[in-house]
Amino acid sequence: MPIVKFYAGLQKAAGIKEISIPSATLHATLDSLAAEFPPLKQLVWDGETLRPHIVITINGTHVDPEQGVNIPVMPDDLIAIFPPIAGG
Amino acid sequence: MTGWCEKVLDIDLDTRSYKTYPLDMEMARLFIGGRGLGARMLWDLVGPGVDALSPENVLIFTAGPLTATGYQTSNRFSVSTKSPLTGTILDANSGGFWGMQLKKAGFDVLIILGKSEKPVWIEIKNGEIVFHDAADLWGQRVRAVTAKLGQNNNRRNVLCIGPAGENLSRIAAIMNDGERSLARGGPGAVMGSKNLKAIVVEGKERPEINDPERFKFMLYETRKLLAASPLTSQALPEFGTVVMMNIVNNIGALPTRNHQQTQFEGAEAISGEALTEKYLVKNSSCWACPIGCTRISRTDKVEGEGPEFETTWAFGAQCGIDNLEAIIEANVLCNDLGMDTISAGSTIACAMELSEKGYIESDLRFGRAELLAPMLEAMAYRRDLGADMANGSLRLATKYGHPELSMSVKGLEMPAYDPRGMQGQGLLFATSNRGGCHMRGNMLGPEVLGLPKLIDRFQVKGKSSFVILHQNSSAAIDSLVVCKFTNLGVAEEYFARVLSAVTGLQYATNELFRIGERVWNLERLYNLREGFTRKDDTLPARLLNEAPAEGPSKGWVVQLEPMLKEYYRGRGWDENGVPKPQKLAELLLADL
Repeated sequence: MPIVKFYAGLQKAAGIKEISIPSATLHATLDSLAAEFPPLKQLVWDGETLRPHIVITINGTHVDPEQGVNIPVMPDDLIAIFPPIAGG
Repeated sequence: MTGWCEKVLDIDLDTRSYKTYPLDMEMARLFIGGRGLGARMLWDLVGPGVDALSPENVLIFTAGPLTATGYQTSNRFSVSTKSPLTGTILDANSGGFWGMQLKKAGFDVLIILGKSEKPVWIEIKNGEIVFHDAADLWGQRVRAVTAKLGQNNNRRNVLCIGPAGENLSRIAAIMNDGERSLARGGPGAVMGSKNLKAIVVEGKERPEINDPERFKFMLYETRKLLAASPLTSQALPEFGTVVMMNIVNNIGALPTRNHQQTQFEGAEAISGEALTEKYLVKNSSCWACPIGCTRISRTDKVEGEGPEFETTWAFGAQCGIDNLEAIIEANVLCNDLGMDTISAGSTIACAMELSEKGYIESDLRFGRAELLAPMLEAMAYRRDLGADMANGSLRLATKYGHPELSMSVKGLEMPAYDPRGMQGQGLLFATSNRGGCHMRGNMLGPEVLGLPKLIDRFQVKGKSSFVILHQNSSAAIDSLVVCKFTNLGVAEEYFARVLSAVTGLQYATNELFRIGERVWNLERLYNLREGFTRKDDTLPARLLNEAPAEGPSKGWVVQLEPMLKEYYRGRGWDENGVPKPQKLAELLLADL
């Protein structure tokens, strides 16, 4: 089952750091997360679009928001979700 | 013109005398302040071939027209000098309060010339300049000196060196307000070579503002924008810069064990999230800053500012250490000794690899957190192997026959981004005028964070235009002088408007970028005059030839050559990286 990891402020919003979600696409994963953790609807995914500057990687490779989220997800994938963050 | 004090203070340590004179306002109009003004003055004052640790080198402390106005983050200042670590032009930039106080004392620029016969500290107080004997301070650490000389919030501010600077460590920092630093490139050693222990400033003046109503409106607009941005109102205040650890590691761009790997299995243990959860006391900020990215951290043994992402990486992943407590303690110690944490950590990592491979005899090994503190002490006091390490990783590795194990560019240790996972960052490091540095533009935004828009981090063609834009922008911001984090919420257009409101000169946004480009090219000319060539625009062989064996950056090396060719063209330079005459004429640098 794919694993989803939350970082920074999303850990508090979701109340957990990681979760396994059975799904075949990133779209389905995000729908499940939004349903399970309602604050994520505001912060990450409203059902149709990603919030600005959310960064999602699958096994360390960026998901390009302009390409959409109908991307297949494999059972051993690691999906990382970062809220807008910055540093130096 | 307003904003500037229009005054320079020269202090001659040879004769313990000083003079003040008007700032060249035409120069100020073209270079503004901070890094730009410092570079222009350094061009005149320190010619080619000067030994950076000789009395002929200078220290030029510069504020800018926005400094001390109360504009958000208008606390920063620069020091310009010739670097004893790299031999390049150097400016280093710090926050806190000291820069604001220099302006309140009535000066845009403070130039330190010559060398004192004996240790001295200088007091600049309400127009009076007093030289004090520093015999009883020499040998003392930064915290003790700062307290002894009366550091008092935003009323009286201390800038000093620690033992590292006194012992001419080429990675020594100048520290201000206790734990703020002008660190990269070794300016602390320049100050130590002059027998100058500290400069204390007190003042009462405030800069005049040309259009106070417009300025007030810009304050309001900037406050709104910074509050609206989740970067400056949530992420940075809550987690500090260490929040970068997990994302940079996740994508396979976190240099690990002296850049031998690009992911660190202990990254989460030393992340911003972990720091916030276990060791954070509170956040804090520099003068006039609403962002509050500073951490105040506490372990059983220490409490202090930081650590920042770069420090946590340098003592952490780069050394194979996942002990956050040891890293926090190393950061506090390094600040107290007065050393650059990035160079210190990366030099320790270099020594670890040299030791593990049997090139030096030492018990240094990756992962040995308990050796961080003893090594830092040895480096600051030049004891045993520390005497070699105090000169930075390139001189260390060269002495022991393996210069290729120094992860540096032009001698300056690279920061926490492995360019094999970020091609544009590689070009940026290779072409940086002060050596391997992420504060001369940073491709973190577009290549990792999607700010303003995500670009393919492995893409090579076309990358140079982003790098040039970032380098010019950062040079302009460093010349204002404000914090680059303001730029996360406020576009350059706003800086142009604030600058215009304060000075009464009409700066357009493109003029700001032009000033940044001017500064960049001037720095380039300085380095060319020092003998640097195209061959110095490079990266360690490891990044060009050794691909990571695993992780998201597996199989990638930096494709520097095509990016460099494109970069030179984009800059208006010839194939050897020399600015063409028409570019210099365009930038009003033709007479240099």
